[in-house]
Amino acid sequence: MVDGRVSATARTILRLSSVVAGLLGWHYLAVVVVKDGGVLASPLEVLARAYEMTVVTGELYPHLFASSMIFFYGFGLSLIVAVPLGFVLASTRLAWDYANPWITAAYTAPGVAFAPILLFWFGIGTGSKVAIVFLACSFPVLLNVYHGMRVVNREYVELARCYRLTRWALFRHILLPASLPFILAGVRLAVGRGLTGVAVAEWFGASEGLGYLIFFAGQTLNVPTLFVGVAVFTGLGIAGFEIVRQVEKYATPWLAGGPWK
Amino acid sequence: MKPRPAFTRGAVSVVAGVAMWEICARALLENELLIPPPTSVARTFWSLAASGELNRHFVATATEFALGFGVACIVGVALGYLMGRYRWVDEIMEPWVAVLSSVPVVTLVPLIIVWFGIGMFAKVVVVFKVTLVAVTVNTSAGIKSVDRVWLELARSMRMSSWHTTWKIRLPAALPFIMTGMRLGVGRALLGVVLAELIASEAGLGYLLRESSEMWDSPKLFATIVLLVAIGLANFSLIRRVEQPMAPWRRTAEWSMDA
Amino acid sequence: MTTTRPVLELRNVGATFPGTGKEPVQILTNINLSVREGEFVSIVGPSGCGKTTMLRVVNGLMPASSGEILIDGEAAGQVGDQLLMGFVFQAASLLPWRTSLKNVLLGLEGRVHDGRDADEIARKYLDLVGLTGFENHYPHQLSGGMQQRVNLARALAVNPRILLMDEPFAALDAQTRSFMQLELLRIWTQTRKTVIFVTHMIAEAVLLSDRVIVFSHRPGTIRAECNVSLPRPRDMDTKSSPQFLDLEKQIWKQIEEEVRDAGGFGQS
Repeated sequence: MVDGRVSATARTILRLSSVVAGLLGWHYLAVVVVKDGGVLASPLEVLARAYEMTVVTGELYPHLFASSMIFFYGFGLSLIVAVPLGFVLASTRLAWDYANPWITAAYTAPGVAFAPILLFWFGIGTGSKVAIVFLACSFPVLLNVYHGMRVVNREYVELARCYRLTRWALFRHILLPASLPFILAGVRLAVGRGLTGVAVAEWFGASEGLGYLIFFAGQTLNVPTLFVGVAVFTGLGIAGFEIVRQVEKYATPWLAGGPWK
Repeated sequence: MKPRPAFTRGAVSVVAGVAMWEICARALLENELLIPPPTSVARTFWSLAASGELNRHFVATATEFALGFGVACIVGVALGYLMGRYRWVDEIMEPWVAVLSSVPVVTLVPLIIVWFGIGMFAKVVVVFKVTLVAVTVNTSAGIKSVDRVWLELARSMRMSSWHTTWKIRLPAALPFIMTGMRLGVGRALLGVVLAELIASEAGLGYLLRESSEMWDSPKLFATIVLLVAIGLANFSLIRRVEQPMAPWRRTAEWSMDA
Repeated sequence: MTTTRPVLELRNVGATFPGTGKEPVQILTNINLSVREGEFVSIVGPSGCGKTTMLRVVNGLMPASSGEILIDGEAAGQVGDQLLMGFVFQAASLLPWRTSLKNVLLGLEGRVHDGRDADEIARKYLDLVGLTGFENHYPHQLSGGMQQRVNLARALAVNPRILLMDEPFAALDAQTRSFMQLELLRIWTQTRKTVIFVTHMIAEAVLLSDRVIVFSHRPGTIRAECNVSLPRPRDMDTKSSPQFLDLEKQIWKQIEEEVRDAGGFGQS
């Protein structure tokens, strides 16, 4: 039981003061306690650097662009491949039984393990990076599409049989809408994994991109830049999730609250 | 007892896949480096294990993982409980938890290395962060979702606050806590391997980098296979533990998250 | 029974909910009720009239906004936790991670210090409700009727002064409900607890009780009291006796009028 009546204003005050206190604490820590710019930068320094990178030199943009391109190619490709594939696998028990061990193995393994192989095969270039993102995104989508189709309520399927719907009609009017929440949840996961994939890909011999920016800043102890990079990356992630959330709201308006994470 | 068809088909698929891999690698590709055949991977694996090198790295990764994960679970449950139970704690902590959970681990690793160096402690911190977020968020959700009827039951039985927490709130939140742990495990594994990949002298992630830098593909593949095996083992282990812990929850929801 | 002090007395009790506007909503008003020891009292009334609220006020789950509640002559607040009320919820509120035995033990755990004694008591009550052999079953392995029986055993195990039952059979199918009514009669005959029983089903109220209280529509107050002098022990045949049907009709008429006064069915 959550302790009852905390008014909306009290809530906002608590949140705001928490954030402000945190920022002040950070600043104090950076400027008074640590004092070593190579370890911790104060929020002001980070803001200044952010300003510099966006407005003054504009050096952020090429990196942002490079990473975004890789992400969109990999993400887009994965949707094109994984969604239909998921439907196909869901349609026959047989197909899934054969594919399952491989898919589960690929999904549960830490994605970074596959990166070196992909670099071997595709060399250091955009291709291998897109491949890494592609793989990172495909599996959550694939698995969610499959399971979305599988857990569709029995009764809906029986209803379709009563009305003698064709397979295609069954798919289009019942299975697809019913599994849409799962699919979109998978897409949401794919966003997170895809962005991680971008960063991992950029660690291996990239010369531009947000991931590269972060790693290079880390190696040169350029903490403000590092923070800026992390912030932008996080921002992308949040934006991505929000977009998918909005799509979810629009495409599946019948889901009021939604399941827990 | 006859195994279910799903299992046999899966097993057949794996065996067939490995066999095909062997045939293709030996017959078609000339360059062994590109795709080493499973037999040579197995040989390398064996020699690594025998020499104790594999052990050394495995133990390093495992220790980092166990330490970070264990501490994070305890702290996470405590924090999650407070957040779930007391609204004001929730409001204060929420912004920070939200920020912490939306920052991808990948991007934090360089920062953690800057702060904590390339030793073991940094990896423990990575595992800690990842697990803490997952466990806290899910524990909080679990505590918040305790059925009001049970709490009213406790009140009508005049149960003390302490008893209510230990006998009702925490058991009710247990499935959520387990979910948090499950989510944490997958991500923590990724985090620790990545951290070792970037800056380390020991551990499976280090092996990944070393073998790829030296173009030793059998070794690379051996490491990858091991990591895949660990991932799979984690997955099925947690599955197995989760069910008896919460037998009343029909996991019809194929909880897919990581 | 000689003229002893009633077990439970409500004097001018009222209760309010904070409303959506500025004014609190009056749920109960001017409740005056006296319950003797060993009496089985049912409460019926139109939907939303505050029957459940009254139970919760008596149990202390909700504060009364006015009036007094006396248990054995003493103000309810002052009574120590010896005097538990047993509350049987409508939803089978069994803890799903505990077996039926452990669920019954829940109330005993703070009170009875010797584990073995507590165990014995719990088993005794499970036996009373007819569930011997199901001690180690989990709630999800039990049917709805069985779950409610565990619920009942749990409420009885702490030896409460008064047993409060809030539409306990509402979620059961009609057949199970009829069986449970007879079960309850049997158990009550053996334990002779003082019971306050809220229900929507008039026939159920008449079958089980010594007295039926009819509530008015919101704000709920006691509109009428009906003594049920049907002889005990009662069974399914009692339900077709002319006296029974007559009582049922009388009470139904009261409720009908209340609903009409309130402005028709579905409002309150």
